[in-house]
Amino acid sequence: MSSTQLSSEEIAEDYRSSLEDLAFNSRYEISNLTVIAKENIHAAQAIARTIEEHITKTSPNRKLPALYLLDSVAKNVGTPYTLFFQRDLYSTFMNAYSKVEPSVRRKLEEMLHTWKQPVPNSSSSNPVFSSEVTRKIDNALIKARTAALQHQQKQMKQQSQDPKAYNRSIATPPPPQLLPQYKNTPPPVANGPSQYMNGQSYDYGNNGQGVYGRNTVGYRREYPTMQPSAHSTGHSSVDTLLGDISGLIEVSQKRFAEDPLNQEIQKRLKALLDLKAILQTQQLPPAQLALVREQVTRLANPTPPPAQDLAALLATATQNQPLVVPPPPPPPPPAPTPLLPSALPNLFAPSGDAASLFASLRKAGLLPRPPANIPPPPPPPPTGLPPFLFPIPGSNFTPPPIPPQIPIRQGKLDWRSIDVEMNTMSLKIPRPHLLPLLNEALPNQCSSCARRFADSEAGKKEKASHLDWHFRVHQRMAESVKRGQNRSWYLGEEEWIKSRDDGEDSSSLAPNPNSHPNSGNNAIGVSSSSSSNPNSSSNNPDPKDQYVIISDPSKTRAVCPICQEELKYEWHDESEEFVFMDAKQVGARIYHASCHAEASKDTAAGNSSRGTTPPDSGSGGKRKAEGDSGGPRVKVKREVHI
Amino acid sequence: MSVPGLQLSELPIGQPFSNFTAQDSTPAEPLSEQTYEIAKFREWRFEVAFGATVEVKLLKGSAEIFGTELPIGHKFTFTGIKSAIFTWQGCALEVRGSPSVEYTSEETPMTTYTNLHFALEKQRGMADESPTAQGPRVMIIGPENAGKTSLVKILTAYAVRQGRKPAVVNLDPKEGVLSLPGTLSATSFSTIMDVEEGFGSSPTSGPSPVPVKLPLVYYYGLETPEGNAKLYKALVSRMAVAVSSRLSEDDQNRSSGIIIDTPGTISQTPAGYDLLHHAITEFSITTLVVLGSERLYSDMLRRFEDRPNHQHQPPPISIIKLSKSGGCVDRDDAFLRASRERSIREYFFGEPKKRTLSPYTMTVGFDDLNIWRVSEASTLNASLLPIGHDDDEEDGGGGGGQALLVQAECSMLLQHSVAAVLHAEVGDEAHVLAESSVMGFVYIASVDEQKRYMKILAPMPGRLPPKPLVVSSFPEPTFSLVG
Repeated sequence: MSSTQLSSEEIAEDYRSSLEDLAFNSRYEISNLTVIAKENIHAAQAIARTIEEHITKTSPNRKLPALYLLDSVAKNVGTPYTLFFQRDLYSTFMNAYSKVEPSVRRKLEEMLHTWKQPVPNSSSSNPVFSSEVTRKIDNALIKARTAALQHQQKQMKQQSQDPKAYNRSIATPPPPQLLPQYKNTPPPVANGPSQYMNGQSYDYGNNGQGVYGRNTVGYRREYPTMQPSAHSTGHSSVDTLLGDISGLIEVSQKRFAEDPLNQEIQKRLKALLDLKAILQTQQLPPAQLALVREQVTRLANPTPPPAQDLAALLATATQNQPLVVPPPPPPPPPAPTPLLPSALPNLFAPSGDAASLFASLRKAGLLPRPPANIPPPPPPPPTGLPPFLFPIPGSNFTPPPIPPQIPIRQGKLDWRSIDVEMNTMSLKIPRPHLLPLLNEALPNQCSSCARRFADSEAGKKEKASHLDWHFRVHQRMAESVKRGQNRSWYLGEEEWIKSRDDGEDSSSLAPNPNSHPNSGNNAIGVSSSSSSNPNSSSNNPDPKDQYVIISDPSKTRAVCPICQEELKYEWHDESEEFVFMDAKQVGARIYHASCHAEASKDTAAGNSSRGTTPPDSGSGGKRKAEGDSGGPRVKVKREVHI
Repeated sequence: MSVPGLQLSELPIGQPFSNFTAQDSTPAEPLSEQTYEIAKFREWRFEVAFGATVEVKLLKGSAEIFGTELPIGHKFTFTGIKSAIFTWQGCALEVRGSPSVEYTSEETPMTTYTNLHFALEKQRGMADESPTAQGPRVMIIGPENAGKTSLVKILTAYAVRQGRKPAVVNLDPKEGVLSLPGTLSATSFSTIMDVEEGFGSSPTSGPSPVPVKLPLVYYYGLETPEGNAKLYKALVSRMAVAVSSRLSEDDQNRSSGIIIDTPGTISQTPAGYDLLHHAITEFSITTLVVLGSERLYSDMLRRFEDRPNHQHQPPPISIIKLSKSGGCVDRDDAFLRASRERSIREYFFGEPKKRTLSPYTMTVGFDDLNIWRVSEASTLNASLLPIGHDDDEEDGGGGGGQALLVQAECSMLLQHSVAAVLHAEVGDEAHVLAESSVMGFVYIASVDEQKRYMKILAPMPGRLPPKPLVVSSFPEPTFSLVG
């Protein structure tokens, strides 16, 4: 695509058509498109506009790759692209954000975060995009989350008052302070799983890529467990307050992360954490609650986010694509979200004593503890508190289980909340609040090998397949006693580079070394039938003799995508497994080895255009379709650092 | 145990072994049994001599060995090991047998190590976000017996626990990772390590109760990197390219980054610093962890602090100083030698009581063999070279300076050596062979110079692959393997 003589329009048009192909998050396509953008820098304005338009127009499930492209161009090419993008970044980003799945939203948020930082490995310390733009987006996002949370809380309240009102609450318009557009948007929770599922299958049914499916399912299941936890009416105001405080804590944590030296933020964070502990452990008289509430409101005040823009945006989103619009961003359940002043009902009259209360809280904050994200497992009693305000009960200080404040999803922690810096001093500070991430965050432990899994749908699934693996190995161990066993040969460089899962996941594939009969760790292994004969480990086994081991008994039928004929399923004596004969696995697909050999010969003969096969195979096992037995012996490439 | 092979079947293959098992079977029953309660944040350190065994079972609580958790109720057997069990929450251990050393320590560097893990985790999270960002590449350096390998294990185990897939690179030829001593290796870890075996073992034809890992192995054949600095550098460069390719192919590997273990000697001499510098550059290290040496730390600061001025603009390196764990113990030569012998034995015969492997013996004529030897005259060579002909200069072509490999004669000298089978072809040039990865190992059981054949123990049945072999002086010849 080196078309320097072409006009900007033509380049943009070309670019637009290439963008149409960007359906997955394919690194190759993205870097390719980035290179094109770089080569045609004279048409930067047109290309930038094309990308923006594409992001706006394309279907929600293609927005993420498109935004990744924007990200890649901005980071790798830089100006003038950043300048062009910056102009409309807010609307481009928010428009996309409003239309995508919650899981994708998180990805977008993560990306946004990187925009606030300098480009990795660059000499300049300027952020990718100017902080003005990113802050504006940040504010809008906070606003959106607030609204969502508020909505959710309202439902929880109603529900706790009258379980039967559960369904009605969907239709109830949100309170006046809420953003109006939520009337139209499906509420995050109460909609019931079925509709949510529908929306989901609409979204992903087309391309059959259940990529985000797992996340969403995990979410959906978690909500019901959240709801019953809504307390009786008497507690709900405390709960709301706790929610608000958690939100503020998160905001402060973020600020603290940005500016760890700011004493003011440190103090506030500590005060908030203590306040939270108190609220969780003690029953406060309503009057005091009101004081606290007032103070919290005031604390939250200094950063009023722009309300209108998002409202308008979300409203348009609902109009444009009523079916596809996912619920307003439900905050990840364990992660508390900031709740801003507008969220607080003005039921409690402000009291003059509020300031003094805050002062005392601040004092309380000056505990000699490093700023912690969550109170360590046995939280230190807030001894510094003025006793007249909050009498501390005896030693029986066991707080109720609180949602971990470091957002954890599927056992992966959110790195943003990690407050460890890579320097000798920072590493020495004990951080008991991080420890749960290693253990308690993954509570679901395998009893035979102590491997941990997340307490989520995905985690359970993983564990189930892990237990299957144990079972299979156990079975094979019993069988294998009779047979002699040998050490296998090590992989060659190329095989090693291509090998994927050295693990046990049944969904994963590992190309075994030729002379390495499947060692029982991969449900599906690829090997040549000449396995046990090291002499024939040369490069070109007859395709007819290749086979793919199938250990999943439900997959006994498969059709070769090339010739559309069924693969032959049979017992293979040598490997003592059921296999597809004359078969070859590439990515998630199984071809006739002979068909594939033919086909790859053809493509190899053709020009060396970029691979058209997207590297993503939905199963998580990412293997590239290239590099078969016929390939060059060693293909090692030197990594280029930009 | 009968060996389906030649006359070796009459050789007492199990003999050295039974030597070793004999001692642990005699006091087998009257093993003393004891229960230890370990309070939280403490570490129970223990040593077991070669020939003795100690069984440890976790009764309650949680416990981990170098980051890898132990399941409750599972019996682990240790022999010839110096190790430690740490607990975050407190635990009770049942110990059968008598460790030669055993005590509980309150002071552990686990806080720092865990923080290091989280700092890395933060960088991994960052790398997750952009398809072009790279995960952290951390290298652990420090003097011998400072706990480098233990730290590598801990970092790896924690990363794996959190669903990461780090590439673990061992640049210390003294001890092999999933391979024999004398090799350098790289492995992608996504599953639990075998706590009894260190890192685990490489694949066999049979099932394995602990998921196997696939290492990429290179043969170096000398104990210290200085032994043949040129070969060492060549291998490091080669491996860096392979690992980087792997990282660029696999997204999970990319964001999880690399954890590198290094030899202790490399951090002690100027020549070593040069090799270190080379490895740091080749692997594009982002974090350099200096374990237990102030001097090394300040030397590294000096060396790398002004790096941004460098023309290539490598990413800045964070240099971290960590203190050595009080639990680090010196391993004497005898211990290390016994470890080496064991790992060779286990490569061919499997781990006693866990997995029995059947190696095969075969007779191979001299003419069918293509044997090379690692050139080893580094110091000697340098003094023989004309002045100004410095072999530190990397002229890559393999022309000047020290040779990498030299053709070896089949002779009695080879007897009892372990030879590496290369992923290469007979007829390839020496410099190609030198950088080829290893396919496996054979043991040269005996050499008959008159009749011009040798008996070879190979891990697999069938003819020996017609591949070039390389021998060297390290690991030293073992006599105990087969008769």
